[in-house]
Amino acid sequence: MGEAVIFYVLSALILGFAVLVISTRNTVHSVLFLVMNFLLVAMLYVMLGAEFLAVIQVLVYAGGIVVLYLFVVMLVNLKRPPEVHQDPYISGRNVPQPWAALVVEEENRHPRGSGGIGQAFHFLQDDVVRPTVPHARILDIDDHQRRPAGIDYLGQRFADILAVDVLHVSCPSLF
Amino acid sequence: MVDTLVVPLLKIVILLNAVLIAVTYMVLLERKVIAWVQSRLGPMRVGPYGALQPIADAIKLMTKEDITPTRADRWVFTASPIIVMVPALIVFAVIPFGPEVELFGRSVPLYITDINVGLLYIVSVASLGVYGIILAGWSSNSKYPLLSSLRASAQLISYEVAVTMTLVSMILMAGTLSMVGIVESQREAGLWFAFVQPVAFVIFFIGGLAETNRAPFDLPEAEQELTGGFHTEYSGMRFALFFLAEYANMIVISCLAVTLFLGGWLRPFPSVEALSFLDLVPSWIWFLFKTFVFLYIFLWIRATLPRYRYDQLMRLGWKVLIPIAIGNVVVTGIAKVLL
Repeated sequence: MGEAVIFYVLSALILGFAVLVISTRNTVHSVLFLVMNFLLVAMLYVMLGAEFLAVIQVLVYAGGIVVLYLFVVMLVNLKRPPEVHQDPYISGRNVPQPWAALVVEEENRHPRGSGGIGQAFHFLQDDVVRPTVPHARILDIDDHQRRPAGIDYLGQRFADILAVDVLHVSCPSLF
Repeated sequence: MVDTLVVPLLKIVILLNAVLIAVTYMVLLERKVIAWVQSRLGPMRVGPYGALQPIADAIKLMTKEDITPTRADRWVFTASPIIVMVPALIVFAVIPFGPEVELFGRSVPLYITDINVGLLYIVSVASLGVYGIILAGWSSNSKYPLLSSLRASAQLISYEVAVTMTLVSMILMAGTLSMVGIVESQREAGLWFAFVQPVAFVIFFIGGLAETNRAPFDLPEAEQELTGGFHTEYSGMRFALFFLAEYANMIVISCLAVTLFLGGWLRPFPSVEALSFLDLVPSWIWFLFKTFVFLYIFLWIRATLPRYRYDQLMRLGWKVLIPIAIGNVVVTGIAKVLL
């Protein structure tokens, strides 16, 4: 009973620190949470009766490898916000929404007059989007920062295209 | 119940207090010894011959203003003195001050616990102390502490290799990782391991000086260059924690050296019958006496030797101590197989 309680508390702490490692913005704090994680895993080993493994876990991972992580993190100045990725396709254009970015993309693929979705959206681009949203370039920065890390940007773009294509198929009258 | 809970708890409380008192008096002893070396008197005002100076120091440090720099990383800044202090204290859990003795009609071992990976436990816990030093320098958000903490951590990591290599040769000698087992194997061998492994002994001692950032390896605290070291931005009790942790680490290294190389609680030449009258002295007094000798040598060296230059320090660590330590492990292994 008591052992089970300790086990579940330890496991919850380990998972909690693991989440903190990947969700903290400050990299040094992230490394520290990693150390806590390793130490708690070592405690789990002690509970299982594997003292040698526990001590080696502390010695090698918590005491050795993470110190090197900490060095690297301190040598690379990560306090500066990461540079915003500039997309060569949309950086020069005024695009208010992700789906409008898609319009520009489509236009690049199918230049005006050659048919396709790009042509169908001309009314959006020329008459609605550009004149009414003068500050839309903010999107270039905003959109990237809001985007969850780990999702490939091009993959996201692909999803947009897919969504409009589905729209194209399901409501042909729009186009 | 009494044997599993009350006695260990009592031992922990007594040991923690004893260590902390010993640490504060180490500070006084250091001031006195250095003063005597320099033909001064040292602290003389508080108590007879300054004997109550540690109490005055403690009151002063606790009542001082505790300042956190505005641009410091508050959490890490608060945590790092604790991270330095805790490993220095919990190492004492496995240090054997004596064998099992009769106390008030029950058999009590003079150590808190004897785990079968004791030596590895000490090495691994001690390796966590470097975090406090790195983080103290980083979180202060100040140039000198950062420089100092980089120096300190580079030094600690370099000399840890040599020290751990000497420990490997000691494990080969004793055939066990248990601290009590290491002392027992010296009793069976009939002599202290310092006589069998003089090279490892010397390397361990030099490495121990470097690991505790003591002179002549006190580059991380070089006042003339760094205005004090990684704890420059700390004040009050937090500064005191760094200070106490340094002395606690000195005591740890001394206890470790005594246990590994000087036979722990054993009397000199434990196999010679003619010296058995030395057993009249209780075993823990032998241990404390040997530890005190080591601590005195620490202070003596500080008062005598000038500081190394940084490149000399690194050269000594990587080009001299580590190759010799590795060679010593190889020779010990071959000798163990052949004999």
